[in-house]
Amino acid sequence: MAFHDDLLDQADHLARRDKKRPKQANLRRAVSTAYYALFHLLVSEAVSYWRLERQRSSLARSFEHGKMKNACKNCKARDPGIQFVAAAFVDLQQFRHDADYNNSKTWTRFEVLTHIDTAGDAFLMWAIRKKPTISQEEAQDFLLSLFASDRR
Amino acid sequence: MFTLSTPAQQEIDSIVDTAKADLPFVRSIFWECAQDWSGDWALFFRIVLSDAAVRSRNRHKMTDQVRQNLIEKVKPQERGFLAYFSFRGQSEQKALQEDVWM
Repeated sequence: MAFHDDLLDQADHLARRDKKRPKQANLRRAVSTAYYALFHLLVSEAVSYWRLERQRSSLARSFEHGKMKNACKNCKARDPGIQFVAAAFVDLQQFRHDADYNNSKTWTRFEVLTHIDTAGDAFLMWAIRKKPTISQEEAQDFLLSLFASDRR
Repeated sequence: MFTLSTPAQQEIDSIVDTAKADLPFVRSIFWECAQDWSGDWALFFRIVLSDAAVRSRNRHKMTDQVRQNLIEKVKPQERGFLAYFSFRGQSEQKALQEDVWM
C-alpha cells in the first residue's frame, strides 16, 4: 500500500482506537494524519510526472502548505472531482492546524470521523479522475499549480 | 478588516434558521465570521446533529446534505469567504457544553 493510503487508514484507526472515551491526543493525531494523507497523495501524484525517479523525493520536499492552500483556493478546474479535492485540501488543512496548535479546542470522535470522511472522499474523487473521460490535462494543471508560481 | 454588514449577518441567520427547519436531524447551527490559520476570512459553521444521525449509517450523507444546503444558500465564495464545517452529536455537545457551539 502507498504511504498516503496507510496514513488514511491510520487516521481512521486513531479515531476509533479508544472504545469508550477517546483520548484527545488520538483524535488530534487522527485529524492531522487525515490531512497529511491527502497532502502526500497530491505530492506523490505531482512528482510521479518527473521522469527521473531518484529526484522525486527532492522535488516532493519543495511543496509548501501555504502555497498549496492558495492553489486549491483559486482552483479553476471545471471538473467537479478536482474541485472537490481542492476544497477538501483547504478544509483539512485548517482543521489540521487546529488539531496541531489549538489546545483550547476539544475534539469529539464524530467530528474527527467527518474530517476523515472528507479525506476519504477526496481520495475517491482523485481515483475517479484517472478515468479517461476526465481531462488529464486539467488534472496536471492542478498538480502543477500546487508547487509552481502562478506568475506569468 | 473584513466584516459582515448587519443585513448580511441577518440574511445568513435567516438561511441558517431555514436550514435547521428543513433538515430534521439538525439540532443547532452556530456560525461566525473569523480568520482561518493563514489569515483568510471564513465562515465557520458548527453543526450539532441528533444522536440518531450520529449513530446512523447515513452519517456521511447527512453531513454532506447540511454542507451542500448551506453552501448553496449562503454562497460563501460569492461573499469572498471560505467556509468550514464542523459536526458534533447532541450527546457529545451536552457533555462538553462548549459556548462556541451554542
